[in-house]
Amino acid sequence: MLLARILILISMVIWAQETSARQNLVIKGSDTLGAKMVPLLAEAFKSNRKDISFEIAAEGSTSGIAALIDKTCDLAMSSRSVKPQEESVALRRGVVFHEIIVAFDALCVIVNEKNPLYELKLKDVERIFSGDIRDWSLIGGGVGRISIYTRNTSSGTYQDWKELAMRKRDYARFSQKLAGNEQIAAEVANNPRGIGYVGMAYVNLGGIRVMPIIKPDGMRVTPSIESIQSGAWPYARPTYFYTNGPPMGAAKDFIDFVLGPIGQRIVQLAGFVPAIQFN
Amino acid sequence: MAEPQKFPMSVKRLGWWTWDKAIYYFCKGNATMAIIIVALITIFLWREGMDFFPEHRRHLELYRATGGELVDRTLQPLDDGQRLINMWNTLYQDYKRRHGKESKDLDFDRLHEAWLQWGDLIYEARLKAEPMVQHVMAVREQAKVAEDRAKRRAVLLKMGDALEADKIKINPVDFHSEEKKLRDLVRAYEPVIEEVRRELELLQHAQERFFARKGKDLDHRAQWNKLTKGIEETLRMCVVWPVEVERMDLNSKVGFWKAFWAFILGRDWVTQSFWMDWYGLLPIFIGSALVCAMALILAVPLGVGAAIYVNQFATKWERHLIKPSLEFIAAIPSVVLGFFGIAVLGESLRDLSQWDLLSWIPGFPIMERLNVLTAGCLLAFMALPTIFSLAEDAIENVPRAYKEGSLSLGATKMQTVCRIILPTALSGIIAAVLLGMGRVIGETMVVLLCAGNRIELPELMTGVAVLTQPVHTMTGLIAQEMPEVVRGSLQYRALFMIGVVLFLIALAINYAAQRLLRKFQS
Repeated sequence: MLLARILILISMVIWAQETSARQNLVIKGSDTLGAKMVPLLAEAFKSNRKDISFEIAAEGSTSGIAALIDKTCDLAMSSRSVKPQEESVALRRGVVFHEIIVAFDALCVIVNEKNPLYELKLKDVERIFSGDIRDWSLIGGGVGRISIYTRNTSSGTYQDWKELAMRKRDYARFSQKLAGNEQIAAEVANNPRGIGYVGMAYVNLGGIRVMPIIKPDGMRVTPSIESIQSGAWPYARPTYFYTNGPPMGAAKDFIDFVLGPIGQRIVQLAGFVPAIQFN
Repeated sequence: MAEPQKFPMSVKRLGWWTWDKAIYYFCKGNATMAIIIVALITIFLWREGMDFFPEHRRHLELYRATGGELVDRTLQPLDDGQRLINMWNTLYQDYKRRHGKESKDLDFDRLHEAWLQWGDLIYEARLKAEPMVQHVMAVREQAKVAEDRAKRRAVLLKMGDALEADKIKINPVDFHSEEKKLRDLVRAYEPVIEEVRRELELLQHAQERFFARKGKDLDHRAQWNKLTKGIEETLRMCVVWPVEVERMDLNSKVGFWKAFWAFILGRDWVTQSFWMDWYGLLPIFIGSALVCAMALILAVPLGVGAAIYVNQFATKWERHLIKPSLEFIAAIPSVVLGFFGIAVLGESLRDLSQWDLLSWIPGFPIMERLNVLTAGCLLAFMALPTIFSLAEDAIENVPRAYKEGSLSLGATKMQTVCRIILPTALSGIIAAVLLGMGRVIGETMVVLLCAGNRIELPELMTGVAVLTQPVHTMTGLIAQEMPEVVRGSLQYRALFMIGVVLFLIALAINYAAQRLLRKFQS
C-alpha cells in the first residue's frame, strides 16, 4: 500500500517536471495576422522546437495590446501602431512596448467580378467609403446603390483604412460592419454592387476582383510586392509584434525565427510582404 | 423470525441543530443568494450606466468649446450639396432607364455633367477645409490630455501623494485664443463656400430652364419638387451660415436634458472616430424593434396555431411527434442557427426573391443577404418553442367544464375552440408571446451574425420593404464593441447605458407577462 503510494507520488512529480519544461507562448491580437500568418509560423516553429506550445487568440489589434498591458499575453500582434494613450496607460502599469515590424500588409479595394469598373481613382475611394457617392453610376459603373462592407470598431484595419484611404473621415452611415476579412470577401463576392477592403492575403476568393488605383498624378498601381516595397501602393502598412520590453526566452526564439529566412518566406506565402528581403 | 433491522436515529442532535434545520437553511440561503445576485447586477448596471449622462454632457460641451460644432456648421452646405447630387443622380438615372434610347437629350446630359462638376467642386472645398479640421482636432487632443492629467493629479492628491501630484504638468487650453484662431480660419474659408453657392445658383437656373421645356415629360413629380426645395434650402444656408457662425457662443453650456435626449433620440452612433464620437440610441433601438417584430410576426401564428392544434385537434400519435420536435428546437445552440443563417438562409432568401413570380412582394428582389428578414426568420425559429410550450400550457389549463358545457349545448368542436377555449386562454397566450418576445430581444449571436450590422435609421417610409434592409441591434452592438472598449471611457459607459435600456425593456416585458399570468390563473 505504502509502496504504491510512493510510486504514484514519484510518477506525478516526474510528469509535473515534464509539463513544466514545456513553455507556453500566449499570442493575442490582430485578426489580419492571427488568422493565417501567425498560425503558419507557429506550426513551422513547433516542428523544430517541440518544447514550446502556442496559444493564439486573434480578436483584434486593440484587444491584443490591451492584453499585453494587462500582462495576460507574451506577444501582441497588431496591424496598427500603438496609440499614445495606450502607451501612457501601459507606462502606468509598468509595461514598456517594444515594437518589431514583421511584415507589410497591403489593403486592397475589392469589388464583385461583375462590376463594370476596372479601376478607381484615389479620391473616388474616399468618396465612396465616406458616403459622398451613393450610387455606382456617379463614377461610371452600372446603376445601383453601392453596398459598403467594412470591419468593425474592434479592428485595427478599420482605423487604418480611415487614415490611409479616407483622410480620417468617418465611414458612411449605410456601411455594414462585418467581423473579419473572410466575411467581407464573401459578402462582396455575393453582391454585384458590393465594395469592401481586405488584406492582400484574402483576395484569392472566387467572385471578387482587386481594383487598381489611379493616383492623382495619373499613375496606375496594383498591389504587388514591388509596388508595396517601393511605396507606390497607397494602402500599405507595416504590421507589428509587440512585447513587454525586449523579447526574452521563448518569445525571443520565436521572433528570431519569424525574422529569419524561413519565417519571412512563410510570411510571403501567407500573402504578406516580408519586412526583410532575403535573396 | 429474523431479527428486526436496527436503524440508527437519523436525528443527530448537537444541541439545537438537526439535519432538517440544515436542509431548510441551505435552501433558504440559496434562494436569498439568488435575490442578492439579481440586486447586485441591477445596482452594478445602474452605477456604470448612470455615470454616462454627466460625461456625455461634458463630451458635447467639449465638442462645442473646441469649435467642432462651428466647423460642422460651416461644412454643412457641403454635406447637403452631396445629398442633392445623389438625389439628382437617382432621378436622372431613373429617367434614362424609363425613356431608354430616345433620351438622347443633350441638355439633360449637359445638366448632369454640370452636377458632376459641382460635385468635384464640393470635394475641392472639403480639401480646403483641412486646416480648420486639423485645428479643431489638435485643440481637442490638447484639452483631453489636460483633463486626463488633471484627473490623475486629483487622484494622487486624494491618495496624499503631493510630490507625485506636483510633478504632473497640466497645460490648460487657452480656449479664447484658440477660438480667435479658428474664427480667422473660418473667415478665410468664406470665399470657398461663396464659390460653391455661385455654381449652385447657376445650376438652379439651368434646371429651371430645363423644367420649363421638359417639365411635362418627367415622372416622380414629388421627388423633383423635393430636389428643387433642397437646392433652395442649400442656397439659403450658404448665405446664412456666416451670421449663424458669428453668433455661435463656443462657451455656452450643454444642459443635462439635451445630453439625455441626444442619447435617446440621437440618429448617429459613431465611435472611434478621428473627428467626433456620437452616441445615439435610435437607429439600433429601431433595429432591435424591427427584428423583434419580424420574429414575432412569424413565430406567433406558428406557435399559437401549433399549440391549439396539438392540444385540441391532434391525435395521440401526432402529439407524440410534434411536441418533442418543437421542444427540441429550444436545445439548438444559437450560434449554430447564426451560422446556418449566414451560410444558407441569407443566400436562399435572396435567390428566392429574384424569381419574377414574387416580384410583387415589397422589397423583393433583395439586395443584401444579411438583413432583418434573415435574422427575423432565425429568431422566430428560436422563439417558437417558448411560445408553443407556454401557449399549450395555457390552453391545457382551461377547465374541462367549459369545453364539456359548450359541447353539451350543441356547439361544434371548432366553435368551442374559437369562442370558448381561446378567449379563456387568451391572457396565458399573450403571456407566452411576451416571454417569447423577451427571448428574442435578448438574443445576441444570431443578430450579430445575420442582421447586417448597418447603424442607420432604416427607411421606415418604404413600408414593409424595410424588412429587407440590414440593421444593427442593441445586443449585437454591445457584443461587437465591448471587446475593445477602454474601461471607464465614455464609450464603455454608453454601452452600459444600452445594457440598462435592454434591462428595463426585459423588466417591463416580464412584469407585463407576470401580471397577465396572475390574472389568468386567478
